[in-house]
Amino acid sequence: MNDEFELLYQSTYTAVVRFLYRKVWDAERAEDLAQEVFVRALAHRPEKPRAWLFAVAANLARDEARAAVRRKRHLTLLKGDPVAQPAFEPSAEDQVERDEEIASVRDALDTLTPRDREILLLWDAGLSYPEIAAETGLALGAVGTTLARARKRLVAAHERQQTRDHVAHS
Amino acid sequence: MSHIPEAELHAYLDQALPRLRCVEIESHLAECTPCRTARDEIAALRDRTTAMLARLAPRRTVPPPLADLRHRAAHRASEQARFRQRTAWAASVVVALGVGWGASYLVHPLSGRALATRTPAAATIPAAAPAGPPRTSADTAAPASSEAPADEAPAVLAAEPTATPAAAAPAPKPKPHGASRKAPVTSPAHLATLGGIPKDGQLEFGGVWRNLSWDGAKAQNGETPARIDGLPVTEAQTQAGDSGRRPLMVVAQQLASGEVIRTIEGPVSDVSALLGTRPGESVDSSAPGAPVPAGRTGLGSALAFRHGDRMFAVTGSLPSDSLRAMMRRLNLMLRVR
Repeated sequence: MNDEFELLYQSTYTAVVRFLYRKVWDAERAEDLAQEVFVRALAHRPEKPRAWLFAVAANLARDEARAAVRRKRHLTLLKGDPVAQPAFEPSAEDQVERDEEIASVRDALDTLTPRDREILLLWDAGLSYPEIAAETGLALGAVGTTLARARKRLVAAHERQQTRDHVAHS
Repeated sequence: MSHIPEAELHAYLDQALPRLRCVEIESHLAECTPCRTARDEIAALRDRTTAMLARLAPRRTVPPPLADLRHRAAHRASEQARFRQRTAWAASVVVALGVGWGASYLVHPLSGRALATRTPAAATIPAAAPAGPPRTSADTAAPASSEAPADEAPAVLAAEPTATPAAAAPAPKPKPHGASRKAPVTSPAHLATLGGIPKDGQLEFGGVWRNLSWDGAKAQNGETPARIDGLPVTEAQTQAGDSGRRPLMVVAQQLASGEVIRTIEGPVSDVSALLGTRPGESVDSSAPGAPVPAGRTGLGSALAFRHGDRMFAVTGSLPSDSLRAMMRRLNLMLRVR
């Protein structure tokens, strides 16, 4: 049992952190919440641990968002949040370009409906269709439809964003 | 075979379809150019979204040692257990206090209530009824001696039915009786002037009461409970007294007119406490199962007298003369008993 949990922990921790990060947009907070998720899992020993982990993570992220609203704390992606670490130190110009690209993707993600965004992030976190259906209450056959729509909308929103940025810069 | 739906191609590329369906799709794709094109576009879309989302990731994270999380989980579990233990302890203390209070109330049903509800007027009862000092003709009537005529025996009393307690006090003016002068100072029967009789003649039957059958009431009381002979008994209620004490007994009887009168018998302190209730409080809410006749709208009265360590009272919404007549009948019954 301990070995199983160790394997689950090692294989899922990063995905849980990433999943949470895309909801709270704060890397340190995402790690704190991910550790809380696993501490709870150790206490509860759920039968379907992967789906349970992401369900709890989603709930914690929701609570975090509500608390953030209450505190009127505005989290920003670009200021103070370390993002994917490059292999080399980028130039200032490269860093600005990267930051703009990340902001553009995040804005595109924010244009999705909460349901589409949730399904897309769960899929990207590695959950299977049945696990996504179980966690979101969606019919199994509707998961593919929702994912197809979410992917198209994300790319379309991103392209619109890039077009606007290009026009603004020229 | 028709073209493969877009959502199914997504599911196919996401490896979310059963093996058999995958084989069918692959054989179709081998023959259908539009579906192959669609599959390639969806694959590109899929890769692109995956790449976009990959940019939205925190820096490379390293899981902390699992032992740290285990330690946190164990610490939290022990804190929760301690909290539950404290909660259970506090709850058990509350329950124990509640049970203790309830048990003491059952054992001494009247002691607390009497202290709490006795009005100043009610508190005068013991002062008016001690067995030694001579009384005035106004508050002393015939003793319940066998020689005394029946019509002089009932003690009297009274809170006449008046609108205000203040007006009630001077109202009763019993005639002096010759028998009262002959009464020995140690006479077992004494008159009591009752104050604080509630308006409407209704008494607060607080405490834990038990309804009895008439036979049960006789068995409970050890002898026939005090009542007015010749009237049908509609209800008998008792309230347990201290061990060794006879219980407080209330017998309800109905007159031909429909009015209900109640004969109360019990220890002096209990009966005086029962009669010394706060004005205006209704018996309806506190007497379990006590019927209230619909026509009971007049002012009420109570007559009582003391006989040894027992007190007897008759209550009802009747004119004082009628009530006095009831008392005489009760007195007769007691002599026979």
